[in-house]
Amino acid sequence: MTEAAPTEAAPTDFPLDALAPGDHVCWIVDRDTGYLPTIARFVRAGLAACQQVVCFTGPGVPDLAGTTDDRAAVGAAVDSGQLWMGTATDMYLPGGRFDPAAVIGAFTRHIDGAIAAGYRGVRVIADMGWAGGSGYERVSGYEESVNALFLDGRALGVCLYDRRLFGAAELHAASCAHPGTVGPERVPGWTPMLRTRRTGRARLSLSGEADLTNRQALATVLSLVVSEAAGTVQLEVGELTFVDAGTAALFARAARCASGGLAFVDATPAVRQVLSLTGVAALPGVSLTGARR
Amino acid sequence: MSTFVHPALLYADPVEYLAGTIPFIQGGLDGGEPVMVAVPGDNLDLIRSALGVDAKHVVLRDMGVAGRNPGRIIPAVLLAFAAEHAGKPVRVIGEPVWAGRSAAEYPACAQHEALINAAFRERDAAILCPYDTSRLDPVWLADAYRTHPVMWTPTARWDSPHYTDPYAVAASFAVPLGAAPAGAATIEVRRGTLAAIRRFAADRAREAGLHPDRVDDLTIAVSELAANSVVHADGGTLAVWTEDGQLLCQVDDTGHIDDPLAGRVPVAADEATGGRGLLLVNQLCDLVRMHSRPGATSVRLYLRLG
Repeated sequence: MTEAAPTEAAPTDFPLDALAPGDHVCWIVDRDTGYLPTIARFVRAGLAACQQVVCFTGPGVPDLAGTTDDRAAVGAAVDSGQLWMGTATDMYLPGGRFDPAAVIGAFTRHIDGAIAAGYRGVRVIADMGWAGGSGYERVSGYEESVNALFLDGRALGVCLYDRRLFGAAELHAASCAHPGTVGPERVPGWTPMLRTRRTGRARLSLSGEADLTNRQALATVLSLVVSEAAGTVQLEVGELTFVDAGTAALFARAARCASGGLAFVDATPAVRQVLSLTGVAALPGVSLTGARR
Repeated sequence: MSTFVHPALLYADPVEYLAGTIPFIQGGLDGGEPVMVAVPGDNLDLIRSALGVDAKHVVLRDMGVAGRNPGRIIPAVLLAFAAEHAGKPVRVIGEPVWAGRSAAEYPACAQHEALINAAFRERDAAILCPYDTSRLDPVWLADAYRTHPVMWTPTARWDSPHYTDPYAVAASFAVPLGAAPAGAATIEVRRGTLAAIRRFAADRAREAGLHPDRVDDLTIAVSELAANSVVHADGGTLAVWTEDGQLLCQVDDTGHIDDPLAGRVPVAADEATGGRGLLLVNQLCDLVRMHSRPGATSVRLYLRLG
């Protein structure tokens, strides 16, 4: 009996409870199925957690309030500045032009401001449909670069990609630029496939799994930490349970670029096996230290 | 100018075995060439004893372990040795065919022998392959004439009248694998489900009793095959079942592997290109069988249980 591909998820199945600060998730959605209730839950969860909530949707600003209580709460949050709603065009295309560096700069200032104002971080949900039609090239580099904003755990981001606005190859690329993806398939117990967290100037924690479906996200994060490190880059991989051969190749290139090489700390048996068989473990500048489990 | 020699050594008993192998080894040592012997355990012991103190100058490997999966002999045994001694002619005794090879393993052995001729074409190497004429199937002995340009015995050497294009000979051993049996556990392979496929494979492997230390190996191998299907064929199907004390996994898709040496040529650790997936698969599994034509590819993995 063939196990069929997982069934289409109802929007209310979006695994909001599985999200944590530092996550940057690609959500592939069918707008027809109505995702507003999920956005509303996302917003309410952020408000309850004392986070600042940023919500950019398209084409118009959504009416998130369901009940009278909600309406009042949402209104109060907007007034206090805890909730900032706008159209995707407001955020990404001010003046009609997409400037990735400016958008990342704006988000960075926003996060700094939220922390200074006493909020416990920022959560963002953004509809990327504005980039459809004209092709994903406009945003592919941006999505990869924006991973840097989530490395310190101060922000959580969900990027909506409406399947009807993007081709299959574009959705693959979008997904690949995020450490985790919520697809149209229902996956019980979903968590982001990979979590990346910077734990020091030259230290990066990787937990979960790394394969071709989140390759560009990992490549960008690795590259960033390597470029800013003065010496050896420590990779805390005690919770990294799977890497594929392509990920090993990424590590090899990072080891070559890092002036002090790459140190894998507490690598799991599966990761050791791949690093060994691909020859990465034997490269000059690569070391494996810590607990062998 | 490079010299590549790939003889099949026909031997009938241990005396002939040593008469054919020891002088070959001594010739290499006398000439300062790196020498490796990769033969099944019993023959390895025979050679090690006969070499005496010279054994420490020879790399000795049990082909029953290193080459259990014939698909990894070229990359992980032969080319790896050549790479360690790049720039020097190397001398190897490699015995991939022995009486205990199964019906499933043998075609992979013969393909491997044929492909040595392709993989080593421009290289400075002598690779001697012993064949036991007293115990091997006569058909297997006849195949040795097709896969080796020259035939040796301890006392004679002649060109094989049946040696021909290595790719054609390898292809002649590539038989369709057939579908997975009706009771196999199956799952669709799609881009968004690679993680689920890894869990599926690991769960089925544990249920079948695969040793815990090998479940990771199986997961990695299946994931690489599934990823290849996603990249080259928009997905496929994975089937998992057990047979004769082995765990079998087969990935079928509509892609085409058109490189006869796929999975057999080492890729540098930091090279940007792909091509490592099948290499890993060959290294991790006890046997890998492949069949591919335009529009249909099947790769079957075997791992021993218990």
